[in-house]
Amino acid sequence: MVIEDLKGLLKDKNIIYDIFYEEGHQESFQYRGDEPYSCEKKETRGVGLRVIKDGRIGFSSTSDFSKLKELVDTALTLSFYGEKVNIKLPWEKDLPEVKTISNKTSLIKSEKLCSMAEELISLIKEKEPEVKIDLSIEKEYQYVRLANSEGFDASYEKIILGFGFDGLLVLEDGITWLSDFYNLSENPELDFKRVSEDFCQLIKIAKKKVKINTGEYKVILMPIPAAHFCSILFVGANGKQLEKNATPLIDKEGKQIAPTFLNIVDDGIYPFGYNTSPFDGDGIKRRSTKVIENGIFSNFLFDLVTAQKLNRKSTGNSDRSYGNMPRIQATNIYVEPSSDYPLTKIIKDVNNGIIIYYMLGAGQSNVLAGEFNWVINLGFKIENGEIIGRIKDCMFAGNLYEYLNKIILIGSEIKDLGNYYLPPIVLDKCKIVTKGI
Amino acid sequence: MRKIKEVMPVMLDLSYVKDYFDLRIEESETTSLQFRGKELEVIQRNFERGGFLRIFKKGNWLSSSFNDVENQINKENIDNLLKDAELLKPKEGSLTFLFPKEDKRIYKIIDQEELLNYKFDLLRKYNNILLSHPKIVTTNALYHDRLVRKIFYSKEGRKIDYTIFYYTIYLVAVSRDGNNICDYGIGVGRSRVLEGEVSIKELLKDLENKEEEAEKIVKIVVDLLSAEPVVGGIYDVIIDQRLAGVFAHEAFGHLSEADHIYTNEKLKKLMTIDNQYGIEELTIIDDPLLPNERGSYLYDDEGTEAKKTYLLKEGKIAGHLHSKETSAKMGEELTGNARSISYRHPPIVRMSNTYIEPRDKSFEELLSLLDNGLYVCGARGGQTELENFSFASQYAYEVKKGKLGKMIRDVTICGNVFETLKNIKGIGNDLKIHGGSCGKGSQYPLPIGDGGPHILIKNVIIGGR
Repeated sequence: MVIEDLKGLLKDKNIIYDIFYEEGHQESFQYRGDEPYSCEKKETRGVGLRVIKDGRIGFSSTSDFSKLKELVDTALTLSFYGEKVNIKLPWEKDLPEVKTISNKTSLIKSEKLCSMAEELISLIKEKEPEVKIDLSIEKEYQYVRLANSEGFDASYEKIILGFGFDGLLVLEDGITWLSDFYNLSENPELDFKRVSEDFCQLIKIAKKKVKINTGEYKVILMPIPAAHFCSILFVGANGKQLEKNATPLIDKEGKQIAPTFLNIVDDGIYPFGYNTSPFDGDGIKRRSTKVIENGIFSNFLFDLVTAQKLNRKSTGNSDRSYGNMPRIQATNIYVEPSSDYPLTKIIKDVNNGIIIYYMLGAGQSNVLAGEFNWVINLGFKIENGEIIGRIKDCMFAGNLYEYLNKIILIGSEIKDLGNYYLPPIVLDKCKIVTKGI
Repeated sequence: MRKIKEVMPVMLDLSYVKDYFDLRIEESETTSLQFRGKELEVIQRNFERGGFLRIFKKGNWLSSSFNDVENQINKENIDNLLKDAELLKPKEGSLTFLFPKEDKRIYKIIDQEELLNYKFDLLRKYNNILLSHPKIVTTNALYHDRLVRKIFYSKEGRKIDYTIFYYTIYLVAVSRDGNNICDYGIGVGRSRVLEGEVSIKELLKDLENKEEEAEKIVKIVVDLLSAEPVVGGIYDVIIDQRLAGVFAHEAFGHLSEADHIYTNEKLKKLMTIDNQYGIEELTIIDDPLLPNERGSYLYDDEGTEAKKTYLLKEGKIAGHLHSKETSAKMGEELTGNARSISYRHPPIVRMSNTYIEPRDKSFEELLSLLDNGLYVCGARGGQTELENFSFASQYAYEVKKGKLGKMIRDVTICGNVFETLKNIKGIGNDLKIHGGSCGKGSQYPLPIGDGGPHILIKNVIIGGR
């Protein structure tokens, strides 16, 4: 109804516009220190209106549907100051069919969500009674509809189920913090026994501390640091940075920037990905875009406005919520795994190295230039193919564009983080600075 | 600026709810303008309205947030919420309660126009300065304001109704020389509780006269192009006011938040009142009552009066920050630090304006005390995980024999907060408070202030290549 009302208000104004409407509801359960803490429910709704009047963009949004007339007036007023653009809003046919709702997940009841949480907590506590578990399980339904002045009018629904937990272990010589996350949007069945065993195994080895000297090491990036590593690439591959001449990738299209076995994809139609949808915030089809193909930098990501300015084509990467103007954003980032390199085998092949699970300081460095500067928050020393203990007070800094060429191996086991699909990434000759234990 | 209409809906009689409950309703208007390079890429206004109702039953929180304020607060939804309690195992739990109080602050905005021209011209003027050097490839110049009316109503009989206006500019320039790309910027953020007759244009004068600062941004971001990256290792450093603020907030302040403390026996022990960690000159304060800073407010989102809290006094732990829940759990007084970023989120323990109290040393005295080391400036951000922290600076200078030398870049400071507190050896006399934003859990950005004077710290780990 809101879209129809807005269309009515905009009918005789002879302007280009699009209307982004969303509504949804969410139910989540939080556990703290092994115990239940809260049940939160959210009902959300809102509408954003983008207008192009005399070639200039204006935008306004609201969650108060008694203000639709004000919304239109405001967007039109603001367009007087807005950026001048020369775009035609799309009316794309044959939108891709995407998987965003699974029956199994949509039918799951609140009681089941709580019992999943309790089962995992009790399995971990059986093995590691001293660890304190915080846990969050969230089920979210989203409905999005986009309509524009060209006649495009489409919608989609999505159900997301996320299951995340962390453990805090306090020992005399310091604190160990670990976390894990599962995107259960496709299938809510989780092998709790295996999940708890993997988690407890990490806790066990974290109890033993080992000393390490400043020097060069082989480094295995587990999914969370691997995601931060890849996210720096996606700052550089953002078409906005190309337009602004602010990316080191500016003259690298079609050039080798990484070893030939590296393939990285921005996949807007990955089944049950957090950012999967049939169309983007401009109404352009979502798709899968190769960003690094066989080590070659192959594509920047674009939305409609930026693509038009650079005489390119949109890659369907316009990210939008009702409250914000569309902007370029990666969707689901997928790093192609190798065929036969499980983590156990990777570790076995390392003589003198480090495996990093978590770090502090992501995104704080000069990411435009590709810099990263991390404190290794949970990392272990590997000697002669075996993890021998936890390292502390270590920092790892470098430049992504240099380190892409230090990738020597990609693992074969993918971790689904909802918007990142990542195997372990192995880097050679990484400078680790340390103060020792 | 539009005048906000009366927003309190016809209230359902909630007296039948036996458990503690509170209800927040928020109505807000936001204006954003953003230049990137020469283009004004973002210009938008947003109108938000929503509510958050929560109930504390059998030791657990049940909550519901919604936009449709008139229709969502009804008996059926409240009964459903109470039923949710059965899903969660009951446990012991209590809250610190407040006495009944009504406080409604009335205001009237006297500016007749929308002031869009004024905001646009102000931002464009700074953006033009940022673009004034040929090595600058783009900018990110942002103006943002938010007028938010907060209405609070609780079982205890608290009825609070007041409005805050937040206003911010954020100026960043990006320089480039071949493959070398650098960025640097500053932010200015203020807030005002609105009462009586208010001229928004008068308030926005706080954002005027920043031309010199914009010129300094250009100089630094161009100088950064020829600065060398730091060599990682252990250094003695002076941190500037901006980084001192990040240290006060990120490294120490978060540890003072009682929701971290009460579930963690070790932290409880470490954060016991009167534990000595620093020199006698070292005092760290959280104060939401500082006038017009970005982290200032009158009441927190549990309806508790804001108040000044000493976190560290003369080197000793002096207090913790509390919500109604943590205050009851730890048997300490309420501090008014339960805050949420909006009606979509529950209040959690947060800081307000957190700063290191200034002492008597001039910057020159600190330089000569330092002798050799680094002078580290500006903050890209900070991250902590309990006692470990990491924060990245914007730029730094070598210091040799007490004299500033060449500029260096990519300096990230990390360490253990308790060790670092002990290594603070000198405190300056030049306090500055900066308005920024903080993230905790899934709640970002929360307006906060942080600051301090120049600080001398020995033996700091600096990451580098």
